[in-house]
Amino acid sequence: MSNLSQLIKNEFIKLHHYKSTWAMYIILAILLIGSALITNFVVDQSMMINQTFQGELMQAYQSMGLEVPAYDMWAFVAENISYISFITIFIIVVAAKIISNEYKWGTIKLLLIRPAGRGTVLASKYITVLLFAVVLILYTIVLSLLIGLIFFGVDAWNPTIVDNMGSGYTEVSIIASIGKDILFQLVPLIIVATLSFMIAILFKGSAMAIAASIVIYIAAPIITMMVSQYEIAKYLLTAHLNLQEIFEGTPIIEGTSLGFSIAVLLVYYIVFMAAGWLTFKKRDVAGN
Amino acid sequence: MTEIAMELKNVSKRIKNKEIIKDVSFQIKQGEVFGFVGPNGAGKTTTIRMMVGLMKLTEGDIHIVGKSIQTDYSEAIREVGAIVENPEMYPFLTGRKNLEQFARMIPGTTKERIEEVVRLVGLEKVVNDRVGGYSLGMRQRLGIAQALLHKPSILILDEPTNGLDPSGMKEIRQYIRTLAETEKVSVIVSSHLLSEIELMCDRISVIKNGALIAVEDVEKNRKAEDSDISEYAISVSNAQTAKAHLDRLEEDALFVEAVDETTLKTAVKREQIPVILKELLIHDINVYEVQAAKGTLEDKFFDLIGENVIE
Repeated sequence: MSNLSQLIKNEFIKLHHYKSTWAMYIILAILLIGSALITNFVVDQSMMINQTFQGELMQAYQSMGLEVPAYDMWAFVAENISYISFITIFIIVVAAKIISNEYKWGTIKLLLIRPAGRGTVLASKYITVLLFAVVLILYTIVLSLLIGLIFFGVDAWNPTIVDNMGSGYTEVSIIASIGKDILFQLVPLIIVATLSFMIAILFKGSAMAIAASIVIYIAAPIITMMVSQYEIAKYLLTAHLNLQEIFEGTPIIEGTSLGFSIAVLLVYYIVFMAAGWLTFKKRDVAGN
Repeated sequence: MTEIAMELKNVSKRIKNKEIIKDVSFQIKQGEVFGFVGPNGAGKTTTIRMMVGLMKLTEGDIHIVGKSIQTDYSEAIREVGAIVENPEMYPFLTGRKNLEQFARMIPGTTKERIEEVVRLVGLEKVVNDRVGGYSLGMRQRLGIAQALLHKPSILILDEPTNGLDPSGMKEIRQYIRTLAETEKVSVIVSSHLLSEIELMCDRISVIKNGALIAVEDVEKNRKAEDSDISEYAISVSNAQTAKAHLDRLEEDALFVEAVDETTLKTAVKREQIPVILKELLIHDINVYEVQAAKGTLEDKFFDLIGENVIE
């Protein structure tokens, strides 16, 4: 066990020696500061509020007797949760590179001639990928809180808002709402990161892994629409990556329930894991 | 009693029905330097990869200090330090950071041990520089440092002198001998250069087309040279006359042959050389050079190895 944590430490050290890793932190910071600047100076905030709070949502607020909140730090944080899709793409790259770089440099041999078995080495890499995703998400949230506080201030530390929590609009605390949004972004992140990780193992390279995973992640709705008239569409991975829609009752493929989606995603996840793991454990490490 | 550090038992490797390694068996004793020679593509690196668990065995087994690489992998591999092919390291990390990486992979490797190993391979001056800027020789040394970190009983070096300049080669050679003699580490060295291997090994095995064709004791070979008959080439002013004079000599087992106008070839014992020279000089034949066609392993094995046929 201590050996696994040492291996994870190794992976983190290596990861933070790449310039591209620091570029990810910098890009996220620029995005956050940029959106704060635009929201603050360019966009009319009251118009933004009016645009968001329309129709059903507005009615829900009125029927519950709640006031429409002003644009503050929390609104800024809630908006920035969508940047997890950037993080997802970064993580796809990290998941592919963490495998392919070892092959590229030939250092895979040095990793695999140690007492830690191949399974442990692979586990350390996979856990590092997921931990790094958590680090980037936390970084985004903390930075959003700070920037939001500076630019927009805060009305209440945990205001109650109205959000669709699966069974229509209800009153929830903003923190629970943000937590739910993160969770729904985290699921596709884990799935495509695992896919990228697996393809990198199979091909010992990152190009295919990154390309395929990003296409599946970004073009998921298009791919699903294209095949939506066929029965198999509901078993496609791409039909289940947007859990938020399914949760709110508006899936691309009609009649998909959250439980069914989770089951399908689990099956894909297990297949990706098994394919990657078995290949890595069984394969001879030869030349290139 | 000499203990067996590593034992290969009927090791075979098949890849897609092609037999790469054919029933190879040998033992390596503790504290000996064992050479592993063969032409390119003979199966040296494949065998080494199986020794360190990078490749699975199709048949047979490899025991490292009594533990099977197949069933007791962790226990077995703990006793092994290796460089397989090139000494690859993380180019963006410094020498020390690289060693720290490898130290973390084996519990119980201390900071002091890292310093000790760095001193041992003489990398103190550059250990804080990035490996990307290292010369091949420096990387080779760092590779050895990495392999020695966890005090293994067996050190496996695949082509350790490849790409090194003569002084670098000499250093590595001396270094390997020191390790075997003072630290009682068994060293397995592979090379396609017999002359290189001969200078540092106690025993040599020759592999060709995936099969082990000979295991030779180098020490015995060296000692035998003095009393054995070996070939000498003698440059003289007139080979024919010289041969005529020498043929009249009443030495036993004296065989002389005039190769061309000025060169004699003879197969004699070392002690017979002065007799031959005296005879030539008495008869006013100028002798310019006497050269021993060294009984090196190169000659000995040349016929054995021949050309490696790629099947």
